[in-house]
Amino acid sequence: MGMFAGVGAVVGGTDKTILTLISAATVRPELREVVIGCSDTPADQAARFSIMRFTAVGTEASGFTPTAWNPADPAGIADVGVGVFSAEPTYTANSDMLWIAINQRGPFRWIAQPGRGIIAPATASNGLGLRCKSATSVTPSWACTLAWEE
Amino acid sequence: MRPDGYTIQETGGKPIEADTLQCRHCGRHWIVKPGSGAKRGWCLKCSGPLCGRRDCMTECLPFEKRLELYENGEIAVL
Repeated sequence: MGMFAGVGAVVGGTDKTILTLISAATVRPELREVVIGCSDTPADQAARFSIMRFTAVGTEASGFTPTAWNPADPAGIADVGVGVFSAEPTYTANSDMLWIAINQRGPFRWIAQPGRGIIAPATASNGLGLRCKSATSVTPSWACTLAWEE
Repeated sequence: MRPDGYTIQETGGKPIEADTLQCRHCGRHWIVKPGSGAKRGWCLKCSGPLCGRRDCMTECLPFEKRLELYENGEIAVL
């Protein structure tokens, strides 16, 4: 068991995925921390994000090799996809696991108690996506971090 | 009640902190807003809060069990 993180800075918009945490058949990653902040010059604009379950990974712009918080840990099994996605992951309807409404000028952080994180099933191509559901301005990039235990 | 999670957000230069609770049946978290009027629940078997969705309120199916069923292909949606 170790903690891992994936990061990305991606332009948001309506139903645009920022980051995905991709599970595998042999692990149940437990999402424990989400950090969101605007990485461009922030304006007085709002955006709404959601953590959602997906059953197909879509087509990511780039991958990200998960960073182990403890360098002595072995490599992680779960994977990370970074937007902008040319084909969005296939999200499960009504699977919003956490709603986050923020202003560009207000960075956000969520931390779960150990054992109370959002768990993805040990099923290939399944996982959790950090998705921008709506935004009053679609131009800025959102620098985001997902941290999980596996 | 012990919170299941914690949020901190900076708005107008001031940090706003809030707790989150987790549904024992579906695993979702929500930010606790006292006086919001949102109707939630409590499972006496799981001894924990419920999100208030009909599926979670009508049957006790702990999230761990739901995960097992999904991974075994016995339910289609997690």
